[in-house]
Amino acid sequence: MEQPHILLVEDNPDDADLTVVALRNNRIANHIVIARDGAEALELLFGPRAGATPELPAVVILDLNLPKISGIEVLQRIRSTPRSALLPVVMLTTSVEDRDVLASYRNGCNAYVQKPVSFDDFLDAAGRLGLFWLLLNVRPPGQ
Amino acid sequence: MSIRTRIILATLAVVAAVTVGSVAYTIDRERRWAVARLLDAIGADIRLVQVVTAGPLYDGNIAQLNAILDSLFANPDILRITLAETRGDIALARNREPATELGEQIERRVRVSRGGDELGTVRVVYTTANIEQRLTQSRNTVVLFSLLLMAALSVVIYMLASRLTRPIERLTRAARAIAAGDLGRDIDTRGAAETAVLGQSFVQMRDAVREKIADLAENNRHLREEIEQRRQAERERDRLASIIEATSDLVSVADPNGKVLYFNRAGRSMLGIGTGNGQPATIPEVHPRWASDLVVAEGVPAAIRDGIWSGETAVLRRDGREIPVSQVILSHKDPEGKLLYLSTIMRDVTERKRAEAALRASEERFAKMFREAPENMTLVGAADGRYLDVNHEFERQTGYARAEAIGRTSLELGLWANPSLREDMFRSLHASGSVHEWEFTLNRRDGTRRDALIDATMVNLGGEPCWLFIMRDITERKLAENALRQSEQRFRALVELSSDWYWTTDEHHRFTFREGEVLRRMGLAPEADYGKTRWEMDFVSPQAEGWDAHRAALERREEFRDLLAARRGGDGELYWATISGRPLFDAKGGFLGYHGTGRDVTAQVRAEQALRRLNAELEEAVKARTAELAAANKELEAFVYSVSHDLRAPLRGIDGFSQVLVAEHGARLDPEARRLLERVRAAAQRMGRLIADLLELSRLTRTEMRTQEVDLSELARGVADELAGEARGRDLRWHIESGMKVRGDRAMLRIALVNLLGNALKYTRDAAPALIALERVERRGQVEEFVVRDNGAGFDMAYAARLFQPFQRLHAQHEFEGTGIGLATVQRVIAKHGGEIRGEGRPGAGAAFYFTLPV
Repeated sequence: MEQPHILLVEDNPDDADLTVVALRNNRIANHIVIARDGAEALELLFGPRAGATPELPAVVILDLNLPKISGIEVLQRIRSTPRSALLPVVMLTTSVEDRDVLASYRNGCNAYVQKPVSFDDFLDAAGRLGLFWLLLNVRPPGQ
Repeated sequence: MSIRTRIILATLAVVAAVTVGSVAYTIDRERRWAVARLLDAIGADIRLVQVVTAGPLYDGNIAQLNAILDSLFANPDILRITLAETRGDIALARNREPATELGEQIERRVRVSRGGDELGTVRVVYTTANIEQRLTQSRNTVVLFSLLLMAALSVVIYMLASRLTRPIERLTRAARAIAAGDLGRDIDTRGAAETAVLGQSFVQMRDAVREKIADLAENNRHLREEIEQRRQAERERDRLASIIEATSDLVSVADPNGKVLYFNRAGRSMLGIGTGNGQPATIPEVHPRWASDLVVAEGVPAAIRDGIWSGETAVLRRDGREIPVSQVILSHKDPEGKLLYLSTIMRDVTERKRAEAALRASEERFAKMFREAPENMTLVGAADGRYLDVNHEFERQTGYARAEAIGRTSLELGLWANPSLREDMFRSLHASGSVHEWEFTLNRRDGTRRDALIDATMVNLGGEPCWLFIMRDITERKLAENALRQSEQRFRALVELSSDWYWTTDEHHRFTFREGEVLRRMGLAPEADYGKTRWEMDFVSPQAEGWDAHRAALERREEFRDLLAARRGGDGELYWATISGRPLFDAKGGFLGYHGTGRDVTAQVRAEQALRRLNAELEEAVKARTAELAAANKELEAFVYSVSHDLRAPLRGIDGFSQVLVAEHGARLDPEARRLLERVRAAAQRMGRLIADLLELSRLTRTEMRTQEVDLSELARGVADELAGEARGRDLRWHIESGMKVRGDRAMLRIALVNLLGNALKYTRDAAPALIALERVERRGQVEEFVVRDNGAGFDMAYAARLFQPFQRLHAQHEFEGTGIGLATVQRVIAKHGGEIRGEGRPGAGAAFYFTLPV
């Protein structure tokens, strides 16, 4: 069975590259698909209008502040679609504001990780994320 | 009416009746004859007209017709002629007025025709007026003649009758005079024979009557004189009797045997008896036993002997009561000295006796009153000035007993502190007969002195003139007067010196008094408003109904305080005053009015007004500034939020890519390049922390507090444990007092403790052991002060002011790392809880941060 991919939704190319580096440094070899905004993320998850439904990623790493469609909205779409209702979603964002954290959990994110400024810390966080969701976490049955 | 007149009138009446009858008859016959003739003439006239007018009418000859009418109209009996042709071409007429209104009109109408044709009509009107005129003239002539005849006849009859009737008339007049009482008149007896006889008999009869009347008049005069004498005597007797009857004394008469003959009215009433039966028969029955003995044994014999006796006896009334009398007994004798009768006069002296008894009682009362009177009273002999008597009050006031005083003078007793004053008083007393309120100082027996007033007046006591002295102790009154005078002086001083004034109003709240210098300074005359109520005065405030509440309070008789009122002074300035007052009542609780004070508070009110104005302005300014600040804060927060997020992303890039560079291309870099890259990373990370701290500070500002009870001790221990974990290997000694409870937001307080304790940990890095303590200091009402103390690096108090400002650090970065936000955050937390924080320290001697929190 082919290893499922990871969907990283991040508009800042620096952060995207660093996240990829951090994941790779933690020996996470899954293919990483990057979406630059919310709209692109939704297209990657649920396909274009007329096309066939694409395969779901193992996990979605989702930034909050996104162009076009915000991270919260993407999360809401994922949770409101039956096929992806149980898809693991990790919020990865700079904000430590209570209202952002609350909004994320209220809409059903599985984890909320703050992007640290220090790359070492970031590596730690990314590593824990990858291990947790890709190695230890049992995926919902039938997927 | 005399006989003569009657004869004349009768004769004239007959002549007049005959004349009138014959004249009426003649005139009537004359009229009938004249009218018949006139009718005949009319018949002839009409026939003639019918004939003579037919021709000319037929021909239309008007001239001829006119001639016919004129000739016809020559007859004076015709009034009107009209000729009218049937065809209407010719119409002629003649008219005249009748000679007199008398008579009647006779009208005739004839148709003029020829050969059966009717040519016209002639109308002729006649009058009998001419006949009547003639008849009237002849009647007048006859009447005139008759009157002349009658006049002549009257004269003839008068002459004849005079001779016959005159003697009779004379007798008649004489008889009338005699009837009227005139008997002295001469009677003329001339005349015809029968008449003369009649006259002489009449004269004889008159003389007889005259004699009889003179006799009667003489008799009457005698009778009248006799009657008058008798009446005189009766009146005299009645007068004497009425005097005796009217007198209030008993008058009685008895015969020599003692049998009582008469009692007057007063006597009967004194004895209580009526007239007639029941009257005492003898003298002894009139008196009670003792008095009758006296009268019989002494009074009557003395009266018989001397003619008169008088003494005090008594009368015995029918009802048994005794009436004291003073009695006089008289004896009446004839010229030979034989006793005819005895009379007595007794006067009731009950009233006199009663008055004497009353006088005795009054004197006794006076004596008692004198003795018991609450006033100090003394009687002093007018001649020698020695006490005749003194009363109890005298004894009490002076301390001298009555026995000591009587017979001595006040001078001898030494009552006068100033004896010369006593001389003056007696001088005045002798001069005017009395003295009034003579003031002197009394020396009491025990040597104490009292102020007293003396009143004295002359009285007659048992015929002896003496002075009655009344002395009043006025010591208390004088003390009260002095006190009052002082009080008035104090009041005067108060009024003149204080900035208040005093006022009184009557029961209708009208000013009766007002005094205070301050009023004059305002330019107001205190008396100007007497008689007015406040609401009738020209107050600028309150006005009209503004006084209603105050007036209602006055009607309830309530006390009022600090009523604020404004009024223009004499200088036109507005003055403010506060007025306070309370009601006054008399002893019976009747309302008398109000009294109270007023105070000039103009300066105060002006200051308050200015202050209020300033406050209002200030409040406006604050409001505006607050709004500005709020807007600025909001902008700032939004800025901080976005800045801290946006700044972190590039930092992450710097740090991340530096790391990647080292990791992936480290082999190609020399050690110096790697060291520089590390410094780049360190700088980026430090900036990251700075931003995080800033973010926290800003979040604190924005977060709502959730207040609850927080166990500060427990919270601090948790934080200490956490911090200790990061400082392993150091010798740390924590002292956290237990049971410190405060009210506050747990999350915020935790942030404050993390910073405070974290700082302490950081600055004690070089101390071994490191001592960090959190303790209570003291409780101040609703807040408690705590302190975090350490034995670390400390700080210079010179810079203490900068401790709590963000980004201000007292240590170099290389000494102690930090962002400079920590204490600013702590200060903000404490401030949000309403507390205060201050730091104390000395370089190298540790630091202490005192803060207060609500408990």
